[in-house]
Amino acid sequence: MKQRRFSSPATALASVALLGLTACTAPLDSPGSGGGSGSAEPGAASQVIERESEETCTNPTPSDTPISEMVIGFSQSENEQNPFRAVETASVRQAVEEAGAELVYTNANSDQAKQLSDIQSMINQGVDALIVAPISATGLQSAFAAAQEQEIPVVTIDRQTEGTPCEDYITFMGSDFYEQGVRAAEAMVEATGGEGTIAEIQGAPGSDVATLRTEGFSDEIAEHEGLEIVAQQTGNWSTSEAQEVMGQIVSANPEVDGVYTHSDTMALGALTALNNFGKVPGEDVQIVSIDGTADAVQHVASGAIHAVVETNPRFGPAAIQALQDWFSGEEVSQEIIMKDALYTEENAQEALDSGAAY
Amino acid sequence: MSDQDKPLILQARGIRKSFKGVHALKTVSLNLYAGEVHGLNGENGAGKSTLIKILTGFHQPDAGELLLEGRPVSFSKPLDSQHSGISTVYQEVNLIPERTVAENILLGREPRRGGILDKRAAIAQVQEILDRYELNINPRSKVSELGLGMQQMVAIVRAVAFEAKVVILDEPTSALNGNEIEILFNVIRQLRSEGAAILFVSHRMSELYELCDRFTVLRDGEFVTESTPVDLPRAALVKAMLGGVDLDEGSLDRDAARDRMRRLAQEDIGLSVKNLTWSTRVRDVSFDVRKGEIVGLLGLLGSGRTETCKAIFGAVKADAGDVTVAGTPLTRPTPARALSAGVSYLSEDRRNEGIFPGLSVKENMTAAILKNISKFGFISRSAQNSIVREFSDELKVKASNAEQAISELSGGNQQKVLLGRWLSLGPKAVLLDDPTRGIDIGAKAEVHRVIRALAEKGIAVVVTSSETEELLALCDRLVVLSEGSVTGEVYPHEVGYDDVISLLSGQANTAKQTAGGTE
Amino acid sequence: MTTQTQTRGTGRKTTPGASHLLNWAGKYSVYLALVALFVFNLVATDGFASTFTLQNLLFSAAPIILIAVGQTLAIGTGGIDLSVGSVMALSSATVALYLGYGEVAAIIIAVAAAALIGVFNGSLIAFARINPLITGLGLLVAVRGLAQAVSGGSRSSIPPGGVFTWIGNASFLGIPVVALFALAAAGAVALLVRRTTFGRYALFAGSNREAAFLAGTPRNITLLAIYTLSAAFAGIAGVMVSARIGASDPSFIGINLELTAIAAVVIGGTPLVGGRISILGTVAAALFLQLIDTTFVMQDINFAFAQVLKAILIIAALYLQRTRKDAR
Repeated sequence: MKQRRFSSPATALASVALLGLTACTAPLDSPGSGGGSGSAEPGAASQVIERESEETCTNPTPSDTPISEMVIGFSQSENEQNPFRAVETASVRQAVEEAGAELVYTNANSDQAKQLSDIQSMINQGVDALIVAPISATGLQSAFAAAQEQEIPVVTIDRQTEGTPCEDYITFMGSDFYEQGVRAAEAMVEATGGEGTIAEIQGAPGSDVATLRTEGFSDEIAEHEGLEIVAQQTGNWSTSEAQEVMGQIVSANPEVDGVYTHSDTMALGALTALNNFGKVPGEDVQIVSIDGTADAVQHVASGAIHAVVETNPRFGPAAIQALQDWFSGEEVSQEIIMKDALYTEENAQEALDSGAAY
Repeated sequence: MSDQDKPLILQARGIRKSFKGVHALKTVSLNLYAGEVHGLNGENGAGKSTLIKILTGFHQPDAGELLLEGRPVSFSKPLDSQHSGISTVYQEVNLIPERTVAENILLGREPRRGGILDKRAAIAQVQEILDRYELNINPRSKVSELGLGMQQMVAIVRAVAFEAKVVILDEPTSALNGNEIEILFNVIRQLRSEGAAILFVSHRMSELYELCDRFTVLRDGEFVTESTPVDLPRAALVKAMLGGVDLDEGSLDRDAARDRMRRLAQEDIGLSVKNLTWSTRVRDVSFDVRKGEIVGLLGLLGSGRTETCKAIFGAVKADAGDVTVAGTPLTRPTPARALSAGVSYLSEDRRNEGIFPGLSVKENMTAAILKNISKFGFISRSAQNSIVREFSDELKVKASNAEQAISELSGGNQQKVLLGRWLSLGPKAVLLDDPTRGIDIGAKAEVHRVIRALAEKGIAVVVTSSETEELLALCDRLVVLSEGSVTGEVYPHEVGYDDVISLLSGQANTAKQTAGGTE
Repeated sequence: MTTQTQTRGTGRKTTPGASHLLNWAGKYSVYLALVALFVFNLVATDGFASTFTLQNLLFSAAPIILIAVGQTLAIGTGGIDLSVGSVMALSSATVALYLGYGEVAAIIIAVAAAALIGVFNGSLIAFARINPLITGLGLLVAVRGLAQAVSGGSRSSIPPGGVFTWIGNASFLGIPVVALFALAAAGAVALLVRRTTFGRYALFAGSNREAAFLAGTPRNITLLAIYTLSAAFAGIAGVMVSARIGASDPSFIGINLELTAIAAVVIGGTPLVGGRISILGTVAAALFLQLIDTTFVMQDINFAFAQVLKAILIIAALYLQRTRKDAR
């Protein structure tokens, strides 16, 4: 199945307007690119903070109002048909509930303009604090400015977006996508014994997440002379595209020893293609992926996928903690990086049973 | 009227222009005086548009000269003409719909104060202009909020409001209703009183006589006459436009014609049209055509002859009226229904409404008959081929083979293919709208022969033409249309050319006396 | 037809031989390009000459051929069907929703749901006289949304071992069954276009709308049928892709495929203005586009560079066609 973005002038002429529109319907970025049918239970594996930045923000006018008397607005970026988003929303919802506060929830459904108006209307409703999962790396300035005017603190989660810390938002919390690439490479080194050829199936071209996952991976692989990346092609976060591309790569490189995919959805496509080719994943070829969806972790448990680096969506407790610190006048780190798990054959079943894999 | 006291503003002398060896204008002159409305008259192909395009700088004349206020000028592009004070308003309104009236009128001439647009001054300025022409339009309204007529006024005002010495109005009334036309005429009269020279083109006789101070008549690219409405009454004007070619009386065998009429009178009615009305273009038109009779719809351009054909065929939805084909009423006509009822219609616009350009002669000729020669949707190739063979032979179509693209054929041959399309259906009545338009003389004769053969077969034939002589020679009877209404009925063998001319000019009293009918 | 030969205007400066050659190259440009790229791969691409590669190529090309054939009809009438990619997603979502009724039932319902979108689209175009570009843009967004809504949007696996696994993997005489189906469908449509009134009416509508009306042809019904067929083909294509990946994936299936289909139609020699339909050309162009992608991945050409190369190849193919048009 071919679904590569088509950008010849001929077709651009035919449907110039289309390109803009399809972008709305296509999730362009992981996290949140994930598929899978895992449970959406929050709290099964709560987040652990990996590291925090030294730069902090402090509330110049702390208040005594307990968080339990507050209204907290949450602007989700994409719909919860995506399990990552489902788990994230559930985590925020539960954390707000546990703090005794009231939640106002909106979902922009991948529409940037809607996210702006969502945030604006929550401000108008008089929320005391905002948690925002940005749709993209830019474009939320006007909403941030409106929040700042009302002295409403904003916590951004999962995707970093443009803005000045302490002014536009008080903190960003999320995964370190470069580090994810490095950890995937480490798992690959272990799986292949540091010898062999590797194919990489990347996320959508131009996405920050994909770029960082590529860089982290190749920087680490470069440390190992026995390993060579022989193919780097995009799978656009899509199962079917990844399957097609994997088929083509393995035709050209039948000896390929390792496959690195930027997301679990693409790992599933690669798995099918490798099987079709007659390779036995886990034996002839080692797959390493990122995300931690139940579908993929299942394959880790069965040995077909060697390892999955987790992208943990459970930001609720950390976000509430940051807000509590802010209101009470304590320092809040400007950047909080979450600890992501690594699923291997040893802990995969456990993660599935506990619901940590989503 | 003494015109000599008015200054001559724009003068065209001995203008000649040809395109690819075809003469569009041969020695044409035009004199436009200040403060008068000058009607430019002529049938299609007379050279009106070519002359206008030369005055506006779109074309350059091959010979002859233009004098503006006595000085020779040459326009190498439209902008030259505009800068010399010649403004033109075309049929299509050319405004920016989402901008205000004021912005449109002042486009490119906005008043500025210290480099900044002075909105208040702009509005005041436009208001003053609109008042001058007694136009009740709010300068702040968006153009898109105005009716088509008012948009046209805005376009005219924009064209004339600033230093227009000559204003060319090419069929400005064609899209307007009666009320709007009155407003337009007021604007034109105001312009005249301000001393502008107005060149006015209209196909409506009554407008010409209401508005114009002087006429220039062109025919076949030649200057015919310059005169005043008083000296050139309607009948004389029409005659000047159509040419004074007297019919070769000898070619009409009156006795034979009378015999034929008597025979036809015994025939049943093949096509009956009663009280047909469509918008203002077809008004209460009624006529009958007997089987085997050739009836010509005679009328000038804009008389409603094409619209009448289209309304009968259902190509436009008539507001009222009944059509009966060989005794069977044709209810709620659409082209598909009309075709099944046995009515065929050959459009006057071969290129836009006739041919399928990329497709072959075969596909074009059998386009309307496919339903009848297919089984379960599968077209019978042998039937298709035999139809093409039969009608190509009968109509003497010249093409290398049946698969040749129709667009590669000459106009005459294209027309024959289309005739084949309609005739292969075995129609009871055919409507042939200017079937000889733009085809060469040989093909013309072929088409005439085919039309007579159709009549011989007992088909009721309705035919129109832009050439009056052609209809007089071809038809058994003429139904005269003027401004959408039937103004008379004549038998070519009974009347002289001058009678026809007076009918054409819309003078119904003459019509009454000649529409005698059979003896 | 009488036998007189019509003398055509031959004011061209090129020698008859050269003009003939250009004309010939233009007429068969897409086939030439396909063969040339195929031969290039046989020679220069390791692992290309293998059953696995060629089967993969055909598995991927089959759904594109289907939607491109539907698109050819729409474009042939002077219209366009921008909804096909989203309709594929709807079909995939519907499969997941009705899998409980059995795999065959799910497939039938999915294709029927797709066809229903086509009926809606066709009605808007034919009866409400809305520009197909407008209806298509609307449906492109709306149907994708509908697909995500009915399915709960997320990817869900189809249990292996049944009809879907067969569709996604079966071959007959080494050729994927889906490819055989797509080619058979293309053949059937080519027959429709060449031999039936339906095909003629479609061409008439595209060639000269007003003339088609005046010739009494059922333009509206024809348009309705064409957009319905196009959507039904997209529905089948959605089933094929779902079967191939063994999952329903409405968020990703069919994204931007309408553009690929349009490109295939145009490269295949059907002009965007309508009035000419070349099904065989479309099939060849769909294979050509798929082959370009395969080539780039197998040669591991960088994505950005690949896009530029692809654009150049497409423009070259279109340029050859332009030469042909002028030569006529």
